[in-house]
Amino acid sequence: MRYIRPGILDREMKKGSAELLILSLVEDQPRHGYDLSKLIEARSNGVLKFRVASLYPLLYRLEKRGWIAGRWIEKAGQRRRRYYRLTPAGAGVLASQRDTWRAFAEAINRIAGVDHA
Amino acid sequence: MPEWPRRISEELRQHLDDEYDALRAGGLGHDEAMRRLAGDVDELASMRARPIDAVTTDIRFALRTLRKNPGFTAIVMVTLALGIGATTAIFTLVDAVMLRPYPYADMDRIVMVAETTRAGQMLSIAWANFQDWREQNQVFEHFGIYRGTVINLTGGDQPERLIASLVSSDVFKAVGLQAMIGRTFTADEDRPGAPRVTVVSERFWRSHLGGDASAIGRTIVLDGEPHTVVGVMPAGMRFPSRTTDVWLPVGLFVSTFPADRGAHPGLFGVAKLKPGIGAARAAADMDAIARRLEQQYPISNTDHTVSLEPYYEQIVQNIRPALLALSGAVAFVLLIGCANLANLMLARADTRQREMAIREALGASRRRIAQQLLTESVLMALGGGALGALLAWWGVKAFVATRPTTVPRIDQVAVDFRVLTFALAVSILVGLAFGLAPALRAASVDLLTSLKDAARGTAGAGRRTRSALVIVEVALALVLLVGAGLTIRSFAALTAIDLGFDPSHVVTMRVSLPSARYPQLARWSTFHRELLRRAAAIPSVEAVGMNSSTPLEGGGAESEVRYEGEPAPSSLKEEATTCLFQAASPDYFRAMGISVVRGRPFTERDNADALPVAVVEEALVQKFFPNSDPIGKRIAFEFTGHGPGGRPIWREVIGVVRHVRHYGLVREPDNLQVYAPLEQLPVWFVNRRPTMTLFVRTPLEPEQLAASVRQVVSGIDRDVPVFSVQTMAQYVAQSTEQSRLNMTLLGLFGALALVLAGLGIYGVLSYFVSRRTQEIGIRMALGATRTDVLRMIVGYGMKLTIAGIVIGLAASWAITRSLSALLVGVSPHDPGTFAAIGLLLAAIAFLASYLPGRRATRVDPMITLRSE
Repeated sequence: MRYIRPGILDREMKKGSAELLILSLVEDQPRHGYDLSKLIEARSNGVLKFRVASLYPLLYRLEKRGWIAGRWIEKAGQRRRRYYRLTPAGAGVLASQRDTWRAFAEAINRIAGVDHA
Repeated sequence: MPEWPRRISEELRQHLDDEYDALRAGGLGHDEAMRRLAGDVDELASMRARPIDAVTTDIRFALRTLRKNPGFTAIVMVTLALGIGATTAIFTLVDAVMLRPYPYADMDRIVMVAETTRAGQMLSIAWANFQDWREQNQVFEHFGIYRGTVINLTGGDQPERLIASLVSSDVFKAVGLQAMIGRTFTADEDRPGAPRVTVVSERFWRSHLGGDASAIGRTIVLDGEPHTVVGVMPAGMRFPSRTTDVWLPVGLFVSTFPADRGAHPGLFGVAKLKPGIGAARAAADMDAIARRLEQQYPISNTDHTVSLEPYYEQIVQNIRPALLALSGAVAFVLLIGCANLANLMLARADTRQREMAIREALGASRRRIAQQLLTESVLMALGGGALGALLAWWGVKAFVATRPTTVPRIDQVAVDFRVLTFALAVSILVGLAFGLAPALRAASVDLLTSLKDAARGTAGAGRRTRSALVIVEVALALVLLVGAGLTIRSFAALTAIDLGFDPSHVVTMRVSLPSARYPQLARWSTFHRELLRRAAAIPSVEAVGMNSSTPLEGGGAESEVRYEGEPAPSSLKEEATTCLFQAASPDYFRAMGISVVRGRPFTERDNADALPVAVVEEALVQKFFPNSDPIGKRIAFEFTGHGPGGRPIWREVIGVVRHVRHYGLVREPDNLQVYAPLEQLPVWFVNRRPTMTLFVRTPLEPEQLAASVRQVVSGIDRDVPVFSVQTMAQYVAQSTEQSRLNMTLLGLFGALALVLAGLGIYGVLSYFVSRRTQEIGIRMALGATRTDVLRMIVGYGMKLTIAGIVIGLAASWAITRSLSALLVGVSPHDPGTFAAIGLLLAAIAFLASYLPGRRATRVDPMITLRSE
C-alpha cells in the first residue's frame, strides 16, 4: 500500500464512509435530512459532522442509484419533510459495505494493535 | 435533472430553519444564531451560483493538471496541431476557391457558351452563328461574346505586351459588373468603324494611369492606334481572366472574322440566363436553334450544337476533385489524431480512476467529473488548434509562394477571420470528440469496484474500446496511404511520359507584331527572319527556332487533314481526320531536340518561291501511308472553300518527326501533327498572324538570354516587346503541377497518418504492458520464456493491425474510385499499390509492437511480484 498522508486518510475514511453511515441510519426507519445530520453528529460525539452542502447532494445521488427512496410527508401542524428509507437494493449495498468496512477495520486493528497488544 | 434544484432548495431551507430553531431553543439570540449559520448559508449560496463558477474552476483545475503532465500535454497538443493545422490549411484553399462568393451578380445564372460537335468536341463560335443565336434565343437576358488576345502598348519608355480581351458590350452586363470609374462600352462603340475606346483593369489603372479619376478620357496607344480610356473595372472583374489588362470592343474587329460558318475564330460566349430559366431549359432552347441552322447550313453546321456550362463549374471543375480528395485526407488525419488522443485519454482516465473515485466520494457528481474531463480535453484542443492555425498560416503562405497556376483565386488564398473561425470550431469539436469517451466512462464507473481495482487495472471494457480505436486508426491510415500511393504512382507515370522533345536548356519567349505596323506578310516574314539570324549570333546560343505554337500549352490551329488519293468522304457525318498545324522555322526541330526519323527538316530554301512542303509526325504516316514511303507523298490541311467542294492546297511531305506532347501531359487528343515552313505560312495564318515563340537552346540563364534577345529585337524594331520568357522545363513543371501538388499533399498527409497510427499502436501496447507487468511477471515465474512474452505482446499488436488492414483495404477499394479524376496512368485499384501499402503499414505496426514487447521481456518476475 502506498504511503498516504494521515490527513488525507482521515478525510477519506470519513467521507468514503458517508454512504455507509446514511444507509445504516435509514435502515430501521425513514428519516429526513436534518434528522440524519443531527444523528450522525450526536452518535459520533461530534467527531463526524456533515457539511450541508454535501449531505443533500449525497442523498440525491443515493436516491438516484436506487439505494434509498425519498417521499414527502406532511404531518399536522408541521411543514412537509422529505423522508428517506432504505430500498431492497440499498439493503444489499449496505450489507456488502458493512462487510468491507468490518474486514478493513479488523485488518487495521490487527496491524495497528488498537484493541489488544 | 428536472426537479433537483427546487427540491434541494426546499430541503435545504428547512434544514436551515431547523438549525435556526435549534440554536434559538439552545438560548442564543437571533443575531448569534444567524452568525453561526452564516458559513452554511454562504456555502449554499455558492452552490446556487455554480454553473459559471464551475467553468472557471474547471478551467483552473484543468490547467493545473495539464501543467503537471507536460509530456502528455505536449504529445496531445502536437497531434492536435498537426491534425487541425492540416485541416485548416486545406479549408483555406477550399474556402477561397469554392465557398467564398464571387463578385459577379447572380453567379448561378452566368453560363459559358461554346459551339460544339455532337461528338463532344468543343469549338469556338463562328461569328455568323453567334449572331443567329443571339437573335433567336429566348433564354438569355444578356449574351456577350469575347476573344482573348495580346496587344502591344507603346508610348512609354519601353514597349509592353498587354493581355487584352475583345468583348461585346453585353459581356459586362452578363457578368453583372459595372465600371468602378467611368463606364463600360455602349452598343454604339461596339461596331465597325466606331472611335477606338478601351476599358482598363484596376491594376493597369494604378500602374499606368496614376490611379486617379483623371485617367478617364486619356489616350493610350495600343498596337499603334490611339485608344480613349472610358472606364476602369473594379479589381473583382476577372473575366475572362484574372490577368486581363484592357478590354476592347469586339465590334471593331468584326471585319477580321471570317463570314464562313465553318471558321471558328477563337470567339466564346458568356450569357446571363433569364430569371427562372434553368441551364437544362436553356440548353434545349439553344439546341433547337442549332438544329434549325443545321438545316439551313448543312455544310458548315451539320452535327454542330451549343454547349452551356455554368461559369462557376468552369472555374472549379478542374480543381474540385483534388480539393475533395485533400479534404477527405485531412479529415482522415484528424480522425486518426482523435482516435489516438481518445486512446491516450482513456489510458490516463484508467490511471486516474482512483483520483476520480476519491473526488466522487468527496461529493463531486459524475456529471461534474465528466465535465471536468471534457474541460481538459477542450482546453488541449484549443491550444492545439491555436498551434494548428499557426501551422496552417505558415503552410498556406509557403504554398502560395510556389505560385501554383492551377488554383483559381490563388491570390486570395490566405488565413483570415473565416478560416480562424473554422479552426476554432474544429478545435472545440475535436476536443469534445476525443474527450467524450473517457468522460462517459468516468461517468459510468462504479465507485466501489474502481476503488478496489484501481491499483490493478483490469478494466476489460476499456481495453476493448482501445483495441477498437487502434483498428479504426489503422484502417483510416491505410485508406489515406493507398490514396497517397496512387497519386505517387500517377505522378511517376506522368513524368515518365515521352515528351517528344528535350526540355533541358531551352529558353522560350514571345514576340507579337502589331498588324497595324506589319500589314504586309513580307515585312512580317522579314522581321522574323532577321530576328532568327541575329539571335543565332548571340554568344553561347546553340540553336534558335521559331514556332507558331508552344508544346504542352495546347491551343493552336486545328484543321481537317487529307492525303492525295484519299477517297472522298461518303457523307457529311463521316468524321474527318483532324490535324494540328504549326508554322516552324528551319532550326526549330534542332533547338527543341525533336528527332527527325525520316527525310529532312526544313531549310532556308523552303521559302515562298519553292514547292510547298510539310513535315509530319509518325502517327500521320501510320494512318495515311502505313505501307509505303511517306517522303514525296502529298497532304493537305487547308482548303479553298468548304465541305466536299473545297479544293485542297497540297504540300509535299519532306520529313517525319516524333510526336510532341502538345496539349499537356494529362490529356492528348489524337490530332495528327503537321508542320509548315515559316516562310510558306499557311493561308489561315496569313490573315491571322500568330504570335511567334522563339525557342533557344543555350546554357545561359533565361534572364541573361532575354536581355540579349530584347536588345536584338529593339535593334530591329524598338516598339516590339519580348514577353513570356520561360524555360521549357518550366512548361513541363506547370503541366505536372497539379499532379505534383496532389502527390505532395496526399503524401504528406499519408506520412502523418502513418506516424500517428504507429504512435497509436505503440501507445496502446505500452499501456498494455505497463498494466500487465504483474501478469507478465507471474507468467515468467511459471516458466514462460522471453520469446513467449514477446510473442504475446507483438501478437496482440499485429492482431489489431491486421484487422485494421483488412478493413482498410476493403474501404480503400470502395473509396479510391473517387480518385480516378486525379490519376493518370494508374488504376484506382492498382494491386501493387494496395499490397505495398498494406506491407508498409504492417512493418510499421510490427516495429511499434516490438518496442513495448521488448520492454515486457525485461520484466523481472521477483521485482513485480514483490511490488504488489
